[in-house]
Amino acid sequence: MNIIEIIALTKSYGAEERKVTALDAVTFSVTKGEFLAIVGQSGSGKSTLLHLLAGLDRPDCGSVFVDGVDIFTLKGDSLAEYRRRQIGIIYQFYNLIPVLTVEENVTLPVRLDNKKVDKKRLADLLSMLNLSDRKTHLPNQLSGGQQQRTAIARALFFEPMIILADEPTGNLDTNNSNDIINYLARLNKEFSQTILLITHDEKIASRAGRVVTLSDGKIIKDVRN
Amino acid sequence: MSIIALIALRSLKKNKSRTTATAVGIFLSILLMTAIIVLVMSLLSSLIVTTIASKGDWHFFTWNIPSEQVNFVLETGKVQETATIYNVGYAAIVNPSNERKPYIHHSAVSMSIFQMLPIILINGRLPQNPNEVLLPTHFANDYKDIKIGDSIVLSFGKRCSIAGDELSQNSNYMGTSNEGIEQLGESKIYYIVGITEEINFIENDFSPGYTILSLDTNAGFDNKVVYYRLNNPKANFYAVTSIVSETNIAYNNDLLSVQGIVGKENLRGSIVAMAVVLMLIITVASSSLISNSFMISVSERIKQYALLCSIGATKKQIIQTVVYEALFLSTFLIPLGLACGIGCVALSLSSIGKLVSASSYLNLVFKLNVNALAVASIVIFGVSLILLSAFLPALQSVKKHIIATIRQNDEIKIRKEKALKPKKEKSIEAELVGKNFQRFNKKYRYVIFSLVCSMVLFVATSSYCSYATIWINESMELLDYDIVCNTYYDVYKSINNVYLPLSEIVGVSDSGWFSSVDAGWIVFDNSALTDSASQYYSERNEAKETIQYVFVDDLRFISLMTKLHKDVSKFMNKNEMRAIILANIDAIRISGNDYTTETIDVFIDKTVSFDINYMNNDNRQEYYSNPDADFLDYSKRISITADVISRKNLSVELSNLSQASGIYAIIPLTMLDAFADDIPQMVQMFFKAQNHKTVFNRMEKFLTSNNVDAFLDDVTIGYEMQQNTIAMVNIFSKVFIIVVSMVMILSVLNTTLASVLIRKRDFVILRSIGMSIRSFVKTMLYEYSLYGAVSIILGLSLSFLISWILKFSFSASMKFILPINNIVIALLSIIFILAASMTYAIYKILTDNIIDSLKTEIT
Ligand SMILES: Nc1ncnc2c1ncn2[C@@H]1O[C@H](COP(=O)(O)OP(=O)(O)O)[C@@H](O)[C@H]1O
Ligand SMILES: [Mg+2]
Repeated sequence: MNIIEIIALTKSYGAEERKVTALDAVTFSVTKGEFLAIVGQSGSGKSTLLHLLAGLDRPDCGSVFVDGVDIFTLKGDSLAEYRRRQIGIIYQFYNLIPVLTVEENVTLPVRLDNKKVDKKRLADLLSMLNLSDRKTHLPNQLSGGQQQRTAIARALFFEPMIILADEPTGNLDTNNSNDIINYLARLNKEFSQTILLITHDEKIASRAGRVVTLSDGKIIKDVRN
Repeated sequence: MSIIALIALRSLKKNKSRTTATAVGIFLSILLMTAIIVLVMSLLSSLIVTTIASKGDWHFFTWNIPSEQVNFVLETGKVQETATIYNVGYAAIVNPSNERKPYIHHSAVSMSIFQMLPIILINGRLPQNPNEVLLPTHFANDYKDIKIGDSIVLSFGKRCSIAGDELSQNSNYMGTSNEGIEQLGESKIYYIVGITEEINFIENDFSPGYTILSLDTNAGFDNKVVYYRLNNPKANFYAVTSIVSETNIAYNNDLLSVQGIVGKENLRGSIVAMAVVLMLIITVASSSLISNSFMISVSERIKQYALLCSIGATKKQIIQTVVYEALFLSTFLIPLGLACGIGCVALSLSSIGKLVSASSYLNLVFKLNVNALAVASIVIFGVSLILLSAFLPALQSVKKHIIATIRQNDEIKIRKEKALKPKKEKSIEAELVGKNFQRFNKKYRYVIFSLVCSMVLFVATSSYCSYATIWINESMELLDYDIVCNTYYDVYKSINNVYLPLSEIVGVSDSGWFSSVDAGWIVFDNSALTDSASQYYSERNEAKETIQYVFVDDLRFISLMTKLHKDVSKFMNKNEMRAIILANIDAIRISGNDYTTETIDVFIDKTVSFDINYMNNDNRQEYYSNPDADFLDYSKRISITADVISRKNLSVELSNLSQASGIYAIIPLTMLDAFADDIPQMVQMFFKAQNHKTVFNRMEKFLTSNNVDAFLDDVTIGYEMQQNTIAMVNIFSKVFIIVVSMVMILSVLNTTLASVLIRKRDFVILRSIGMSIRSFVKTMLYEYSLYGAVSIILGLSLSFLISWILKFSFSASMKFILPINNIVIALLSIIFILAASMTYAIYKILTDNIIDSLKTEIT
């Protein structure tokens, strides 16, 4: 079953002669439980694709169906709800709220949803990500790896259908990178979590079940391992 | 606490520089607004209490109307309080020590008079029954053996002239042969219980009786003067006063004017109108202060909102964080700003009050005035402004900035087309600043905005205040002199025996005299007249105009000539009949009920020659006895050449002529015999004195002790209200400017400092990649020069423009004032503030630990 259906997605920036086509009629689909790596050189359109999937931006044309819903028809609160419940986003630069502690950052989407925080799940998640002894720290008191793990915990906490990760290891050393990828792989294996991972690291990509290669906004390769 | 409120509160706590900057901005703007509103309201209430202190707290009084009519007025229910004065009569003083005051004049007053009229008790207490009296201080001084606690036996009667007319305090003493006291009542014992200042609403300088007051216990209003204070005077004034016949009513015009009741001289209205303009300026300034204080951190805010948005916060939730943040700030800062604003004004008013009463002869009373409505409107205005200023960035971020923000490159939005190409090889620092200027365009904008705003506000306020001061001075029509003395001796005797001694009296700061006389007729040569003048005369079927000689002191004439850049010797040469003339006519044009006065220049040329049909003393008597005789052709003709001068900027003694319509020849006294056949018999002298009351008394003493027959008048007394108003407006506008400048200086400091501290990270990154201190200082220097230059250019041009526009809020004829001094002050302060905040910022960044700065305050 296809959880994501991307049809002829096109996005360009700028106008006239300086027009850059970041995504050029990209079409592919992702099945539930798939661990998909998107690779490509810098500027090939990977982040653009991810932002469109997260509903953070709008395409020039084309559509994205997530669980059967055309996300570009969502507006206002339902779009926010989609971002909160259906997807978890992990960025290269963590994007944690600096004034909130680890615990608070992780539970932020739930609390924005006015739901009760499941204390046990929080404890489990933090211990799984090795953050139990850091839960009352503020982001700037953490190392890069810890910050990224916090961001992962935040993305996971709502048990989203899909995890979107934009070069989550781009900022980390090899050890920390391996840790992060291991977590993601484990999530995929143990909980059948659908994961879209952007990277330009071939080695990391090789951990995924499927690798899509972008170049100049077009898919040039789509390989299943 | 909800997560939203938590984020809002924590962000405020965490981002200290940003919160401080915002908080200081909000605080200052609330303070500014409060201070200005309270100042205006206090100015109005101070004018009222000052007027009440000198004129009394009543709106009108009636005399000579029957009791029933007074009752009829009272039955309207619109009168709050009345006070009465009953004229008991005069008692003669045996062996009076002051020949001009041979009587005691007894007035019986109602108790309420002591609240409604300005009676100042110097010693003792108020009377409690008809047998207790208050003596005026000049009586106590003239008769030193009479004291509080003494009793005196007096009987009062009518003061009548020989002809049998009853005389009042308004006619001066005419001597035993011309007047006396009739119908003496029975003798009574009166106990002296207190001393008051002279009762100046009953007694004048020349009144023949010392006014003593006792308590009137008789009800009824027959034969009494009744003072009325109205309820809601604005609404009731015309309804109530129209009941009484115009000949028996008089008004407290000064109070009516400051309370905004009387239409024509509605001073209050004008002040309120001025205040409204000022409030508009202040409102713009406060709004910019507040929105600016939020703009300082706009990109930090947008980032935070975008972040929240990306993890699924709804629009409503983001707006909630904004509201929380604004509310947290408002709760603390609005009350604080209000309190400090009111405190500021209270403090300055009380210290000014002390200063003024210690150093001035004016009786100014200051009264702080705040009301709930004003406070409420400040609160509402402040809260909505804060909300609005916080909303704008939130809305922006919700709309479109999410991606850019998440990419962490929101500031890289240089439009390539606009990027200036470096014209020549620039230093790395200059280039860095240039690039920054484009990259951080928004961040720079508010600093410049704040500098420009402050400068413009400062210049606008000060030029507005100078306009207001000029306007109030002009509309008040104050005289250039305080005391006038007229004598009817010949010119030389008057000057030597009267003028010179008077002008040397201690306290006289300037003086002058002139002696004017009708000199005859000028028959016009029509070709010498201006068009409007020939039209004026032809409308009246005349071809002639009277001319007056105005003889002045030689030395003062010389200085006048020097001021006018004229060669004095020409005017003091007896072989050359040359004079200075004023030749303007005020033509009144009536259209319907309105009339306008137009000033017409009589002559085309600045130098004219004409003949005078001279009248000597005999001709003059002839003319006065038959002024309608069409044209009197006297025997003597005098040919003179005259330089026409303007009526403006004349010296003290000639200031009266600034209103004079007609032709006046100003001639130094040495030239008297060349121009005239006889010596003028009347001299008018003008004296300026700060403490006019004391000087007047000294002059009066001199005149009486030397038996000089002269008319002495303290003209300034009649202008007390005007003087008080001018002084008030001057004082308040000073306080105004001081408050505005303080606030502006603080706000500029706030924005510039905050701008650097918030961007500390940028600078720290530069340092961390190895920028040398020298290079860093240079970069800062460039940056600040850029701020300075851009804002000074903008600020100057806007200041000019606004000063110019403001002049129209008074009248089109108001001349444009460029407050050069203030502009210079503003420029210097901007440079100083920039230098100070730059030094501080450099110091701060250089001494801070690099890693700490990199890690903290990332938002
Ligand atoms: N806001 C933007 N304005 C203009 N061009 C953009 C913008 N965002 C991305 N691009 C361009 O779109 C292309 C794809 O960018 P991106 O999706 O970030 O690539 P990747 O993530 O693969 O490095 C690049 O050429 C980039 O320069
Ligand atoms: Mg990218």
